[in-house]
Amino acid sequence: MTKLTAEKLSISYDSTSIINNIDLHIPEGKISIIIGSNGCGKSTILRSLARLLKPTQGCIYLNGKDIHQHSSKEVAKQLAILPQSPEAPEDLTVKELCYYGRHPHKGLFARYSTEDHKIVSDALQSTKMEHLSDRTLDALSGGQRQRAWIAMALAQGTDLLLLDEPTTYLDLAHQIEVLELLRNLNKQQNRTIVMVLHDLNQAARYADHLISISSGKIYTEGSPTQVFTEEMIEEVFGLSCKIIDNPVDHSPLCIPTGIYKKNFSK
Amino acid sequence: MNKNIKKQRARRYIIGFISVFLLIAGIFIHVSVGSSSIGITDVIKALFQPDNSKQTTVIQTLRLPRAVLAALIGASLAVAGALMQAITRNSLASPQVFGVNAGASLAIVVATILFPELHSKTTVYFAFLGSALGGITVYLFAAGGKVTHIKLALAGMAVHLFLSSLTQGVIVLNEDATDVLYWLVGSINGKNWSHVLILLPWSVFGLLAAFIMGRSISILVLGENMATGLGEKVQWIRLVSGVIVIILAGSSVAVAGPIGFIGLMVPHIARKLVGGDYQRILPFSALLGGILLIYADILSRFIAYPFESPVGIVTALIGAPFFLYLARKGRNIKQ
Amino acid sequence: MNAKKHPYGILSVLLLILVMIAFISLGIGAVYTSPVEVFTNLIGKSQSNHFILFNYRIPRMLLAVIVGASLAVSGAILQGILKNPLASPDVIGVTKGSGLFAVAVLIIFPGASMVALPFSAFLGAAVIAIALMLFSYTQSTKTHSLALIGVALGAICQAGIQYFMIKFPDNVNTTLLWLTGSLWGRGWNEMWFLIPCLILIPLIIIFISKLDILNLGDEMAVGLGERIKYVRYTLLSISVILTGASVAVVGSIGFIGLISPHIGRRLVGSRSKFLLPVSALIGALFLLLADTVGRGVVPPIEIPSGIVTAIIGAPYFLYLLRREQKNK
Repeated sequence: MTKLTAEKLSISYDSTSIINNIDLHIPEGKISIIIGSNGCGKSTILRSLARLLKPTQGCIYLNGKDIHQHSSKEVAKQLAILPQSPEAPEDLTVKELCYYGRHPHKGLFARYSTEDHKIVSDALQSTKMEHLSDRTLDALSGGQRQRAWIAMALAQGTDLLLLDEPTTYLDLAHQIEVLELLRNLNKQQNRTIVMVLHDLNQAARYADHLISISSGKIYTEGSPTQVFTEEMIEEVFGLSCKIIDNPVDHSPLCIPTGIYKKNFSK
Repeated sequence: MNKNIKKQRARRYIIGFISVFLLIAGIFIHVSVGSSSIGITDVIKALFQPDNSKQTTVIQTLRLPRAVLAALIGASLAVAGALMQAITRNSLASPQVFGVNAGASLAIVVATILFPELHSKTTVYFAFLGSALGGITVYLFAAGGKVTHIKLALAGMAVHLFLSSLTQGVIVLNEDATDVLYWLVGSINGKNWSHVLILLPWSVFGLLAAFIMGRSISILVLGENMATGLGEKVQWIRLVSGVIVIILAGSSVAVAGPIGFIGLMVPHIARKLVGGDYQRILPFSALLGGILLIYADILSRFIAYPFESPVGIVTALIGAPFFLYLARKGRNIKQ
Repeated sequence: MNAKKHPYGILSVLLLILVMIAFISLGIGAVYTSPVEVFTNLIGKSQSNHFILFNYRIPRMLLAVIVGASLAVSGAILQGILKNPLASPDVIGVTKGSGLFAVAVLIIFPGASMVALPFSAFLGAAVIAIALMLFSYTQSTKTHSLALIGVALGAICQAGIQYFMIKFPDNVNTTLLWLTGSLWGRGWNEMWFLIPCLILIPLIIIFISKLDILNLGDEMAVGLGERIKYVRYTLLSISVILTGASVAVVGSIGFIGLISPHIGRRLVGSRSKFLLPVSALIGALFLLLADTVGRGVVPPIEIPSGIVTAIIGAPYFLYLLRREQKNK
């Protein structure tokens, strides 16, 4: 299993500090979800974990070695990232997109092997996209398109899957579609998933490990029942709420009751 | 709070005074400098106590009209640029980027070659036609929807390329090359009062019209939906402004060729100095544009001494680095 | 969009058309040669127009094909790197930079050796490319800045070119002609300049997959293990060399690099594997046609190819603009 950790990580843009000296260990084989209010740095954390950003201080370790010491291709074989709003030419088919996922494993002239074909086909199956594999991306619904991108990430063949707000532009049904897919991938294929989510209740429901970020620091992390408290939501989100048991699966559910009237300066 | 406003207002007045002073000083310098220098006192004498000396004649028939022309054209192009940047909400908009200049000069070149006997007063109408065509082409692409700076710049550049290659082509195929070359660059050399007279009515009309539109433009800049909500007729404002731009830019190109970058640079500087209200930006751009072109023209007498260069080259040499600076700042430009 | 399903078919058809047009173009010019005569000359059974064919027409045809292909490929690469359908060497200032340096040499050293001209064209293109890279360095080569900066640099070069033309008015005509772009008087000698093109174009195959990955967005490309800066700079350099060589031979011809990739995309989609070769063929056809038409319309007067490409290219470009607008 691939290990991903951050140690004493700090990131600043110009002279503003976004992330302030955090330590993070991503639990293997689990779904970890990062939550926090806008601008707190959750996307920044995810992107630095994926080596898209260089730390101002501190280090990200992939399997014990500094991630920036690995070649980018090496990292791509261990860790797949699905950024926010990925772009693609409209006339690309789902299958063609998937094959790009094999790119880190191919040299300059290498052609696709039988193994590659199998991996792509498995990825399409896992995401239930085989019947759509010859459709172009612009002919898909939002949820289907996200599944296509996830299929590509799966084709990369990595233990680790990082996703930056994968549900933000989708309607509710498609959001659940994507989240259920990710849960299945975690349970059935034992992939470690780390994602940033906007929706608190979805985060509480789907996470094995919840990380809440406030002002560039980790406020608290742990299981949803441990982390999802009225106090946390007040402090991190400035929201008064009542936490009850979700009647469907008994995960914590947050019902807002008003604005938290402390000196909330964010 | 009040102290700040007062300070701002005071600052603006000071800037205004300095600008007017610079303008007048510029005119004097412009008139006195040249292949034969004329002292400042002589200039003052010539202007206010004209006699029949050779110097006075030189000043009155050659130098003064040229200075006046520079001021007028600078003002017109600057205001045209400011209007364009407001309508398209794109800080890179300007008569040059929008193909307005190139369209006008193509039209003039074609007209001059097809109808050599045509009086200069009538070629202005060709310029209008050309600038309208050029501007509309780019506008079709750039108006409405989200158009980033880069799309505008590239579209404008492509249209500009097209128009100027046509212009070049026409020149190449026609033997009369050297003369018409100036039309590719823009110059005020050798212009006299007749040119001023051609330009004056259009410039004055255009500038006044623009100033009157000031408040509507300010509201337009708040956003289409906002402006409509405040009762402004957005399409109408855009149309009228477009016409004003064509008049200002077209007439300037008709008289002096496609002088570039004034329309691009001046509104930015004006905005920095007097804030975001177009009722102030427009007149101030006019002032600033006049100043800029006068001094650029003064410079143009020296960069290839003792030959005079077309002022269009000087504005390009100043303006292109400015454009570069804008391009780098790109991320932070608010639309 | 059935065309997109048969890319190999399209490639073959284009190749066939190219060969046909090339053949026909050999016959057109101040002295008309019928296709039969051309054929008999080529296979050596006749010497009737041997001189014209082998010393003028054939090299000229080959030059047109290679330059057209090079400019088209250069444009396709730039449109890919900059992710903007309006990018092309003419618009980004690379052609202008080439032109500036070449004009400077033409004017300041009129007696310069044959090598000086292409060398200065290369140098000019390279200088612009380096300036592009330097100026955009701090913003991690954001594609938007790169293109905008190119436009600004092009404007500076344009001013420089005009300065030369005005400072040295005696050479204005030749300079203008050169700037408009033409194959007049080009022959076997100029073929040497195109050696880099002949080497580079096949070499591009290596970069095809990387170009496609770039199209997925910067972060995605990094996520898939690509070193995007390196790839972008290398591709930019290739584009620059292709453009520099082309400008050295024909002067600054416009629209080929802009339009050929567009047509290519409509025919075979945006996968570089097919887009690049198809664009190359289209570019070759475009320039060949332009040159042939320029020669054949009012012989013996030759209309410079640059004007023909502008006349054909511009309306199509305007049509493209409208289409883009509608798609919004």
